[in-house]
Amino acid sequence: MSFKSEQTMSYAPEKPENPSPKKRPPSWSDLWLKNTKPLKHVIFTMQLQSLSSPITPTTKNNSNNNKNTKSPKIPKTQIPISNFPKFPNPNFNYSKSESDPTRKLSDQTLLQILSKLPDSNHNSISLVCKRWLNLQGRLVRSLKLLSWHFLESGRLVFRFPNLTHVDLVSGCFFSPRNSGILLTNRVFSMHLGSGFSTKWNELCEDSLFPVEVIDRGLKMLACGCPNLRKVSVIGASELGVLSLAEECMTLQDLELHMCNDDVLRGIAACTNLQVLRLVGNVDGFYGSLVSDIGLTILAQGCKRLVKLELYGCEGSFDGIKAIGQCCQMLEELSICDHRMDDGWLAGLSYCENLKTLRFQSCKRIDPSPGPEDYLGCCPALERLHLHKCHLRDKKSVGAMFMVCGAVKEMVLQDCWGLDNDMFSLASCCRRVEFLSLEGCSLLTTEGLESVILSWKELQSLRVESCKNIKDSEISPSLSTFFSVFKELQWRPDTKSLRPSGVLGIVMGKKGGKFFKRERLFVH
Amino acid sequence: MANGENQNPNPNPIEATPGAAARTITLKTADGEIFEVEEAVAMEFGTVKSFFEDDAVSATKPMPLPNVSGSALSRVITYCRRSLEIRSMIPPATSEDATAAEAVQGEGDLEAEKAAKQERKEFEAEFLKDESNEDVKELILAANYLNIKELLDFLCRSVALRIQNKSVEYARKFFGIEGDYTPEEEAQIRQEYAWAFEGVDED
Repeated sequence: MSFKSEQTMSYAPEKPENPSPKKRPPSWSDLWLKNTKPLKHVIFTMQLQSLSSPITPTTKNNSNNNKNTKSPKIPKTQIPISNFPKFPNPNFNYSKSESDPTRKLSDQTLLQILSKLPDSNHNSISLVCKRWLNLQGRLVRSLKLLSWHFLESGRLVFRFPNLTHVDLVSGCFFSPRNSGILLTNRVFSMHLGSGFSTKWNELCEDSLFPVEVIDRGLKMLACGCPNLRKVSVIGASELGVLSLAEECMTLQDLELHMCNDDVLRGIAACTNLQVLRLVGNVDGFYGSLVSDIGLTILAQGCKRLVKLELYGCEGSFDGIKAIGQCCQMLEELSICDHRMDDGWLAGLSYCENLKTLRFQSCKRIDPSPGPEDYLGCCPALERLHLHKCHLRDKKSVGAMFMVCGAVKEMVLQDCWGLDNDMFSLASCCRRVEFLSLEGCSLLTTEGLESVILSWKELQSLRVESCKNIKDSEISPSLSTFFSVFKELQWRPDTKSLRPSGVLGIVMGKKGGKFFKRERLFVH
Repeated sequence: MANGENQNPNPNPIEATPGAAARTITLKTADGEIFEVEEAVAMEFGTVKSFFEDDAVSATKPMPLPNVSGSALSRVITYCRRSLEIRSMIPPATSEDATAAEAVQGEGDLEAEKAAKQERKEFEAEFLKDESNEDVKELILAANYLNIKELLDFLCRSVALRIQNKSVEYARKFFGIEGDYTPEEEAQIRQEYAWAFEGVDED
């Protein structure tokens, strides 16, 4: 995807007349980004005249350039961006008319009133007058962006300067406005125009804004909303992440889709990061490589990490070991659909403070985990959750249970291949106090019994929708064992009430729209 | 100087029990009305409280309140008096070691608290029932100036209740605000709400 110089870019705001009065120390991003002056001018102007800031309008010409300078892969039938009307004269001064009695009401009092109004009133409140728009905007803390233009034009940071949670993922895609087709996957969702190609692999790449655009938007967001705590974005590069790191000291939670090793170079600057989710490969949509290199950079940069989720990431023993050794505060690790090299499980024993380990949608755990002696054990581990994983390989499962020998809580849900033999490998976890089995249809009562009778510390048991566990097969010793439990939920006959993984059933807030759009599910 | 109490009869005066030394504080409003208020009530007003804490001498001189009208002040005084009464219904919290006997008394406290809450609810509902929007606004300004946290919070809640789920025009009329958007600006805001973003559900 080639892009002409910034000047012809459709989203670049116009240069304002007044020059930037503020000087900033040079930063990494300055060196990397060329021609940042126009952007800086706009941002500083906005920062200085915070409340009544005149935003320079994009000219009408820009909206015409839209259609021509986009990536050539977009088919012509797709309308890339909605054409917003030309910017209003942003003379957002408070009404000075003598007839405004609310002048006497201080901002603080008005804010007190506005904060007690329900969320559904936001629209009407903003339409009352410009002062209310401004005050209401100051109250908004979290937002999900749907239209990139809203961010790029500066409207978002102007209207909502106090944002702490921002979800940009949906906004990073070209989205035809009146699209009737929603493509949703467990990781992201996007709207499609009717002219989309059926090559799923290219769909994402084609529909995503170019990396420079996303980085620029991130920088704008970071400068305009310095209180950001949580951001989700797709398709950023390390420059975008760097600008977040530089401007938002309070950034604690980051979700990076389409992440790769290069992007992680920027993460190292987010020293206060506590929660991180990296999405590397999404089957059928895009692939981006997060390998040991990225994991090591991450480990060395974000030492305060508490919760890490790796989705579709590669890597191996070395990467996991690095994380374990450097991120001493790591308490929760989630591995989803991983592509890691065999032998990685042993790296977990280096995570000395890890309390929760989650596997989700993993097609394999670790088919060749190495000699038992070198596996080690996660010393502080308390919870093991397996959700929709393939547990067909004995070596994998055995090694996993060995590494998790100290767990107190075990949750197995909708896992394939968990028969009696496989489950018997769990007997090495002697300290289990709570066990939950759901959707384990191969397990029988006998298999269950042979494992849990040896778990002397078991206090709570939950068995749901495991159709081969029959009440009739409960032995006397098992029922005596049950009687000492603090909590027992025994419903092996029930069908699982939760729709497992069919996302479209979630109506969402705008129920009305559910009926206007067809939904396309991709799992 | 200070006139007698004949200017404006105090609403709901608390009967001064003989022998009880009820210190009163004199307040003078913007329109020249004089109010004699029990000290306990007057200390609810943050502005008055800090004024007298700084300068203990002027208990005799009437304190000027240039931003508050007589009618507003009288309503405010009514509210604060009632509020104090309701608060005194709840016995002070016991802090020592909890014995069985005190646990029983604790239950009594809970009952008292519930009764007090109920009283407060009824009182608050009555208080603003007949007030016009103008009066409510005046009360807010008064409460804001006098720095009465409880009253201000209550008034803000009430105003929010009055304007919530109503139209834009209603809110404008209530506050007497003139809309200052051009048609394009208004259209832009509506578009933004429809297409540009949505709120995030907190996990």
